[in-house]
Amino acid sequence: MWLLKSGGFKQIFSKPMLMVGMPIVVADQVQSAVFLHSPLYEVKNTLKTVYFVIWMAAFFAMFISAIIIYYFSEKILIRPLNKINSTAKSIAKGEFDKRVDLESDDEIGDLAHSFNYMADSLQSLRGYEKKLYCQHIPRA
Amino acid sequence: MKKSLFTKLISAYLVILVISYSLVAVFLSYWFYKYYYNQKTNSLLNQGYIINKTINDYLTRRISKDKMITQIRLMDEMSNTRILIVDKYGFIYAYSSNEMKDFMGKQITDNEIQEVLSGNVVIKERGI
Repeated sequence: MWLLKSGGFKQIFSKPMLMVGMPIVVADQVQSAVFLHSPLYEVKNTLKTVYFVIWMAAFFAMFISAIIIYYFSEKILIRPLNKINSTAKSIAKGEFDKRVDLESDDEIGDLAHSFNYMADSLQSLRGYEKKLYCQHIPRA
Repeated sequence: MKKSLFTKLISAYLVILVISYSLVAVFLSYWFYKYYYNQKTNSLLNQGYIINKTINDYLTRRISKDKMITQIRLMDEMSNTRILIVDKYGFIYAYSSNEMKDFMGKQITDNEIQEVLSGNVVIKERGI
């Protein structure tokens, strides 16, 4: 016996579902309909693994990129700048023969080159000053 | 406290890295979800076409109701899909899994029924 009672899909399925409904046409008339329900937890479980892989890949990519950036910025920028800095300090203390030993074709290389040029000028100026001083000191 | 050039550079790079990789990860996650969802919908649609033929055969009395039910049960078990067949008034007359046993003969009054019975294919995600 057929029970005549109204209801909805929500009452039938307790879990979230992906639903596809299709009409069944017989002799050019919709005679019936088919409803297919696929549990969404299946989709979500599969995607969990995919999400895990994506986020792990992103994390490792970040980690590796950070190491590469750390290494290169230290090698290209920080070490040459420290070299120039320590040479400048030595020259300030009076060691006029100190030079920056740097070979680079970028702006840091230009800076090192200009710095050495400045040190050369300072050294020759200092030599000239010494010479003048010696000439003008009355001989004892 | 004085911050070194190195710290500033590394922090700037790190911020850029975290933002860009997170954006890529979010985009990929969304894209995969959409892709998998569409794949699932397509497989349901394909199953729907196969069942359509079976029901057509049953309605034109080429196969018995038992054979039709066996086929939809088999399909349910093979692809973990719950299948419901309703007549043109929305009454359930066949189901594929025992979890729907209590609803046999009941009328479904959801809006989708009207939409499907008027000849359209309906795809819907239903959260509880």
